[in-house]
Amino acid sequence: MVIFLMIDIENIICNSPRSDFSESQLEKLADYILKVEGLLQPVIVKKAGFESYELIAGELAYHAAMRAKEKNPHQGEMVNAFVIQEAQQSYVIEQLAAFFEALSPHISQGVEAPETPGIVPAQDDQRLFNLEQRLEQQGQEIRAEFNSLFQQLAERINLLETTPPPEPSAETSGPVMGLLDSLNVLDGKSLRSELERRNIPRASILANAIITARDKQPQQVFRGYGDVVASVKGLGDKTLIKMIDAFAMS
Amino acid sequence: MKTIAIYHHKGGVGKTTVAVNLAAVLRKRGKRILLVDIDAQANSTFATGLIKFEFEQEDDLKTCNVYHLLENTHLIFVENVVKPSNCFNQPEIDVVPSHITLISQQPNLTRFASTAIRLARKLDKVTEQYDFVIIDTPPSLDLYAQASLTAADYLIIPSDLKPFSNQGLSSVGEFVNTIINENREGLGKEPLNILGVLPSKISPNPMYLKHTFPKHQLAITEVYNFPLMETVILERTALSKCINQTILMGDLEIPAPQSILDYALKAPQEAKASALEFEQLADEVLSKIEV
Repeated sequence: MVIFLMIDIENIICNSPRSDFSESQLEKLADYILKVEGLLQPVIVKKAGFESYELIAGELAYHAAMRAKEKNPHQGEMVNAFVIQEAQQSYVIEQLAAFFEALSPHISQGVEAPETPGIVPAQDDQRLFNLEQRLEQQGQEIRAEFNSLFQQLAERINLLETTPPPEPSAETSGPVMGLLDSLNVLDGKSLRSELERRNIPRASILANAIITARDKQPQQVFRGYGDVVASVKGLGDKTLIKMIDAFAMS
Repeated sequence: MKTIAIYHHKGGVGKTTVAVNLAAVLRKRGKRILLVDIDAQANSTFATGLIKFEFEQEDDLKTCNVYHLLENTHLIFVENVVKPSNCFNQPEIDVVPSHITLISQQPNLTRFASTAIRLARKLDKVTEQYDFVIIDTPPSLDLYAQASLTAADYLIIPSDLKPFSNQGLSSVGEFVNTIINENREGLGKEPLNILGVLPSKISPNPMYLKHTFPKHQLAITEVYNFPLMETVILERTALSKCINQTILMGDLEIPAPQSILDYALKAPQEAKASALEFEQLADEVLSKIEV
């Protein structure tokens, strides 16, 4: 049975080198693949192991899709693939060859032939030329990426050097505390400033009432918001909810 | 890091209750917990306080949930979708939320060859950050269940032990022995360790507990050949009440779910017995899993 799946291209093993194909051709096909957001010429693979597949046919499509993934990793992770059984392999190749033969007078140059990867058996010169082209192109891409990273770093360093170090502040060191922790840990003065910072009305009176109530708790700790509402004078559900929200936000 | 899936393909056996409260009790013991909700009903997501919005526009989970871990290999990781629970438990736990759209998105995932192992791969990247990962699963044999169990080292099967639920046990066993353990072998992991069937949602009726329940317990080990857990979670109203609490905010009733342990601090008489059952469950889990 032939199964049709989307396969992570990194899980496909391809034995034909990329230099069998011209870089400009791969480049063009990669752009077409990205435009459609998918490869329309499914590759044909067979299972080679857990999560690995061996390419049976579709070398050009494979390398073009690889190039597409290089250009846009967000789109090119998976390709359409027919997964065939080992036992079918000779029949699969037979079918592909028959289609290729039937179509070959009409198809334009540059479309792959499954049984002979790369159409013209690549001459050494041609392959060297392809490799050189690819190296040149990758060199340019790396240089461009390096330049933009370098630019970003330079800007950041510049920013750090020109802005004065932030004033050390007593409050809000380390991770932001939830309300209950704050109520249990802070002293009267910092609690008041925390409440004021979040525009809770009557912050000073409230902070005093909370500290007074907390000291009366067993182990001087509120075990939950229930304790807080029950024991803090003048603190109702509504204000508490406002406080919980305010503390959750910052 | 140990990963525990809470799974049975029979619905309504208390999976979510077990998952969120086991997570809460282990968190209170100082363990670093990640709760993964992979059930499209998103009950665990709700129970941990992450669904407090009324309108779809405020839904911040639709574009950022467990589905996004499954649909790609190198783009989205746990750190990109995790959220702290919201007033659920002190201390709070980390949650990978689910979303109702998991149902409609499943056909996409079935077309991808690697879906079932991606969760496992992504959890492998956070082994340093957590002591326990607890996965709340869908009541099915689908791809989400497969992804969950492939990622899990241990399995707890909550069940009310009634005949209907037991009928599903043999297919759970077959599912684990074939698909799941094959996936795990491919990933170089040990076979899934079944901690046992956990009696859950058990009627507190004394006559039932005395006469019928022991027979039901025996059937699990004798007829179905599954290990049985010692802890018993009885069906008490506090367990559903702690999840269904609300608070008033202006005119709106906002959900305010809590773990049974925090609820027991507030309403000890009502909830203490259930909280103790979960303490016992944590003891049993910790003793069976060598940490």
